[in-house]
Amino acid sequence: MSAVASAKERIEAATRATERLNPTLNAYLHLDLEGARAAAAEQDAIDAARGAGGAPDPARPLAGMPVCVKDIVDVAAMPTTAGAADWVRHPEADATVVARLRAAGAVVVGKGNTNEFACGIDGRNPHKGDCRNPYDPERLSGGSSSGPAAAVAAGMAEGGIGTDTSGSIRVPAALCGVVGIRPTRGLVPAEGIVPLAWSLDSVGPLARDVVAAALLLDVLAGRPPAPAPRPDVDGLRLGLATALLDRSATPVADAIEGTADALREAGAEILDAALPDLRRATAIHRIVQTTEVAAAHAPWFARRRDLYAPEVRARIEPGYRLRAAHYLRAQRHRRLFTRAFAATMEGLDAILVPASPVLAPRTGEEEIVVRGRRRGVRSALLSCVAPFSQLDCPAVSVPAGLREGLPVGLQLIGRPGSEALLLRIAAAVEANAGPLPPPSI
Amino acid sequence: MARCPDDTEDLVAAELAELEALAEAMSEDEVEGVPPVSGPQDWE
Repeated sequence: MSAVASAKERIEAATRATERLNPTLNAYLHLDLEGARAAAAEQDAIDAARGAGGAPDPARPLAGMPVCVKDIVDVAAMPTTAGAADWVRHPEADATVVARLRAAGAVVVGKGNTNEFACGIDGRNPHKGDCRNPYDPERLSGGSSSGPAAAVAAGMAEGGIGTDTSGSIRVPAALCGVVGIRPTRGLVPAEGIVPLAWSLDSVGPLARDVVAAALLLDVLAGRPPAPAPRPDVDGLRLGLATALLDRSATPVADAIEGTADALREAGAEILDAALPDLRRATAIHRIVQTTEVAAAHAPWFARRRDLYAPEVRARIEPGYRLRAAHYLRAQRHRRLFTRAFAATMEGLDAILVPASPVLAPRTGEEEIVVRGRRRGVRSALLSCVAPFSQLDCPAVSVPAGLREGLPVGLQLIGRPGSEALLLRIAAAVEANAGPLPPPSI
Repeated sequence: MARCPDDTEDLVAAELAELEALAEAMSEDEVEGVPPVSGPQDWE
């Protein structure tokens, strides 16, 4: 889309794609195309009144950008269903992040699909229908921010708003071939968003490219837009998580090793990153998340536990029976893991890890074979993201190319507050991979 | 996708047993003196 395209043109392009593809992809659960057109007309009217000859308005850095908002985030005058069976609220006010988007000129097209209550990593939803992967509708989109990722990949939006508790931005971004940012926890406010696990939740953007994702992040964080990230890794020291590559599917490992080689040629030093015990980290994460999700859901769960999908109920209900001592012990070990990871980061600027160790699995597959080893799909999709989700640090998933016609996502993890640095690296990854061919759907 | 309630009870029990075992496997000695609050000080 040209930088000088009007808001109307951008919304019409997203609308055409949505009308054509949403029946197949199920990326949107709720649409307000009429409202989007009206909002686009308002943006164009403001531009016309400014008379700046199409020059960007610094006060509205997202003017005319069509956005898909995950359906656990409140948008005034649209229902929030959280992808659940019979749970709905009708907010009168926008979530803080949506208010910031609109103030910056973005146009909300609709509410994006999600795993039930954002509790899942695969993008499947027995109540609202699965979200499908634009690169192959017979494959998983990833989740839980499934709708925003699929919508952006398919041109049904230019930006998406998601949430990430265990990997729910990074995994769908990786499987659908878009950029996704899990910001430093607390950078982006969570008011007006259905919580999953308070000490793990992070709200962030998805976009087609690094520049758009960076711009969205600045708006969500309520700060002036920084200059667009430039691909520059010269002199950076990057740690490659070779142990995780060895457990990844060969096409994923090859793509990431190839990217690491390109970053080395661009001036970065690539070192082997010895990560702390990720098995322990995953255990900590499961205990903390399960307990917090149970607490967040207590009022609704007490009344309508029968409405939850069996798999989701089985992930929430144990949280009512775990003891406080278990939760606190896990939180104390979480702090040890954070210290160990900080030690790993000493002398490094960022860590390179697959966002998903596998290409998008086929819908309906419960297990997948990776290098001769049978793994559960859910476990595989969580394996490279959940352990790092309990750190307060940011992580970015950026496309590293297509393999076998499917996107590969490279995850960049840095210190708290290092989003700008990660986006610089992501821009270099993007420059190496080139724009992904759009889905042929 | 749909399972009968008994299956769900089994799933809940299995998940709980696994989580309890994971928690019990975490040593108290390792975290002696460590409060359950993380923060930027852990990165300094």
